[in-house]
Amino acid sequence: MKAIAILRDSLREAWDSKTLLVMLVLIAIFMVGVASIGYNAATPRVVFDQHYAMMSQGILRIDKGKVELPLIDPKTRLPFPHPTYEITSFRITKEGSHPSLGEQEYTILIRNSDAEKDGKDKEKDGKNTEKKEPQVEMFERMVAAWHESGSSSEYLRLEEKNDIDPRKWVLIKPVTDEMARDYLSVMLERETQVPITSFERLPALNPNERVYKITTGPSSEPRVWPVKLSIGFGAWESPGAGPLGVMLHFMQDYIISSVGGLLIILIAVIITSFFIPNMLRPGSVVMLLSKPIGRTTLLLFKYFGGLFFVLILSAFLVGGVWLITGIRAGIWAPGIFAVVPLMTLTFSILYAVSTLAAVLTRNSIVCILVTLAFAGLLWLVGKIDVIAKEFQKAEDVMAELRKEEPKYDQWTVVIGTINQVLPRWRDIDVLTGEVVEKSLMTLKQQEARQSVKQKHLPTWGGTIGVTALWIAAMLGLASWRFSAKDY
Amino acid sequence: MAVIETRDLRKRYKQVEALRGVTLKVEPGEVFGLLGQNGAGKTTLIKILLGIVKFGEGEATLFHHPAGTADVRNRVGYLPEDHRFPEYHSAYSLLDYYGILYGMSKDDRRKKIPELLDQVGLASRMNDKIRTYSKGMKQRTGIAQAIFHDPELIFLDEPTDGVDPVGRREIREIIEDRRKRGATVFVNSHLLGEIEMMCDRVAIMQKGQLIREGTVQELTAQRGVYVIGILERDRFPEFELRQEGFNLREIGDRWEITLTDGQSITPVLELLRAQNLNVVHMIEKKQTLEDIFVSMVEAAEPGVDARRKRRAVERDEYERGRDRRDRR
Ligand SMILES: Nc1ncnc2c1ncn2[C@@H]1O[C@H](COP(=O)(O)OP(=O)(O)OP(=O)(O)O)[C@@H](O)[C@H]1O
Ligand SMILES: [Mg+2]
Repeated sequence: MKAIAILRDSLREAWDSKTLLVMLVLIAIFMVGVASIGYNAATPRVVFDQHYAMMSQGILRIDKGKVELPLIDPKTRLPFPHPTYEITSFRITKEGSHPSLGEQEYTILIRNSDAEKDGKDKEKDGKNTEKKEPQVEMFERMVAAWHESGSSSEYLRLEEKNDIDPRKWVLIKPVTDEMARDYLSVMLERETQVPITSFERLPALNPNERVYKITTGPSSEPRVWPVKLSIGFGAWESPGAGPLGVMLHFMQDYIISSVGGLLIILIAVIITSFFIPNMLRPGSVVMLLSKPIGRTTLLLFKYFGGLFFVLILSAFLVGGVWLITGIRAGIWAPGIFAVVPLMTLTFSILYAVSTLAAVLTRNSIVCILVTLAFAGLLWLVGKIDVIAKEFQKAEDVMAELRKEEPKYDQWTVVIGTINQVLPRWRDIDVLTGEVVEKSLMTLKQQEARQSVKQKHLPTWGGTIGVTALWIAAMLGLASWRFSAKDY
Repeated sequence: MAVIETRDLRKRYKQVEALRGVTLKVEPGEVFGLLGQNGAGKTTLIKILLGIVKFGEGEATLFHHPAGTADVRNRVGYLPEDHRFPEYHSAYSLLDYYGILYGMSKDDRRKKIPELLDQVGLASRMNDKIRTYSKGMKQRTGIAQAIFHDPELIFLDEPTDGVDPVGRREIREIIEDRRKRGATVFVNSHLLGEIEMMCDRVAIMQKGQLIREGTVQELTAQRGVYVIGILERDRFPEFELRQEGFNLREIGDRWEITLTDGQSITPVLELLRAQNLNVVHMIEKKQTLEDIFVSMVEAAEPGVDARRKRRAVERDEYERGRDRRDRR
């Protein structure tokens, strides 16, 4: 009862100073922006064009896509030759009630990226007749790599350990059309959930080119059919389309949780950093301390009052966004609600720092600066760790191809350890994104993304445990100081 | 059974020794006044009794429980000096909040808050934000919160600070009212007249020590001091009276006569009448608490002190002014 009274008092303070109101209004304005976003299903042609444009990027997919690597020459920093895909004829054989539910037939031309370039070069100077070394067909190598499970060397092997130039790979087994179909259909389904219903190889004009005639059936999951985003109630429409789930994920995880959430947290740090120093002003604190309530209780519930402030804001933001996307996109995914407690948890780390600073200095400005500095430190360490992990991952993959133990850089280990020991701000963010993603996407899409990212997800226990330990330590220190101090 | 009891209480802030062995006892139902100069340690003593400040050595109990625990605070009301209320509250919501902290029920709060605010004269403004209150209104709010939960012991640190004369009287009445209901009241004040009117017992604190303690009657006991003024053209028989052994002092154009044991004022009056002098002014000067206070404080602090010097300078200036007036 007393505790609730202290919470209510904090809210009264926030409400009276108009900060709560202003924040709610700002969030409401932001939500109007979110409401202005429309999701319009793309036409099949756009979807397939876009899919094959994506496929045409120089990306190596190993082990059914569990590992993805950019195919870049480490020496020149230029892409290695890789296959490109182009739809040469397209026809809708049956219209569906929704763009995703029709049937289509198209032919696709696959050739090497450098073949394309060479062609252009030739056109340019007209007399480049120099005989090039015979081209190897990159598509075959991609398909072989796709089926290669990494450790087995069943389909291909590297000539030299440290050279990943695909032109120098040695194919062990011939690549069949079945294997090609497998590769193409998994990749297509991953993005669009559209199955390939028939697959036929047509004769090609050039030896290094392939042409397939493909027919596709209705999508098994219209929810993930790519959509075009329109912003400002149709004022602007995105040129490309993306799966609805991915779009929503981008919006909910990135815009709401990461950017909007971060903004709210930082503003809340500034606002709430005034609460405890206000309470500790000489004439005020004496009044409270004469009441029959323990100092630790007083401080803790004042702290919870600050968290409550953020809880209200995040609940308002998330609830609103959930409602809006439900109405606009027809997707009522509850995962976004994970943002509410997790955002509050993130804030609770920072507010514990602020509380400690408040007890030690009783100065709001100092609290704000110390807290923002701490937040900056966490952010920086997190970022450096991400970069370090990226490098390490590349090294791991390379080591696997080289059939060697991966080398560990000392710095990667140090920064990783620091990151593990500090409050897990970034991990909380990653886990939030994970929950949001899980509830937005179909299982297949998740699997695909999972394998692409090959995530080492942080554990819930570790993340919350380490964070809670920090919070407890800082609040413990603050209470101890507060209890011992003369006012 | 004493309500407040301290034994040889000592408190040291970093450089300042605020309390240097305070032993004190306040009995139930008393209105106890603590006097002392600025910085004497009065507020520190109250804060120690409430647990707001931790003490170094000694013992302090309220109701025979160690002072400063939350349970004990439940039975105590406190009006701090220079208090500042959270300004986002109105008097009503503030009392409501504090009432919850004191564990009062909702009905109880709803019934008592308007009554109490009426008693302190804030009823018409009770739903306005405290930031719109005048200084005296804030002080009244402070009094209200100190007595709200019917505490058995009330600490008032400068209760009439910033309050107008009518309000002061009202506050005195409130204190009296509480005493009648059986509460013990502990008042810190510089306003000696007020203490004199309110308190049963008084202690004087000087540099962290109690230098005098007793009932108001004991402290202001009559010493027989008279002030006599005669017409300006007449000469006051100073010499004759001194010869008869009277203790004289010239104050402006009047004379102060301090009787020693066994002396009576009658011979003085007879002498004046015999000399045909017209007495235009004659009062029996009662010793006020202020006189006691000033003399105590000076006695306790015999060295030359900025305060004393200042007073001496003031006196000189006054005399010089009088000379000039006389010459005119
Ligand atoms: N928190 C503190 N830190 C350091 N010194 C303090 C603190 N509080 C009080 N003091 C010192 O202790 C001494 C006693 O202060 P206290 O406030 O008890 O005096 P007081 O008798 O109430 O004076 P006043 O009549 O001016 O209210 C003063 O010298 C003061 O400077
Ligand atoms: Mg004081």
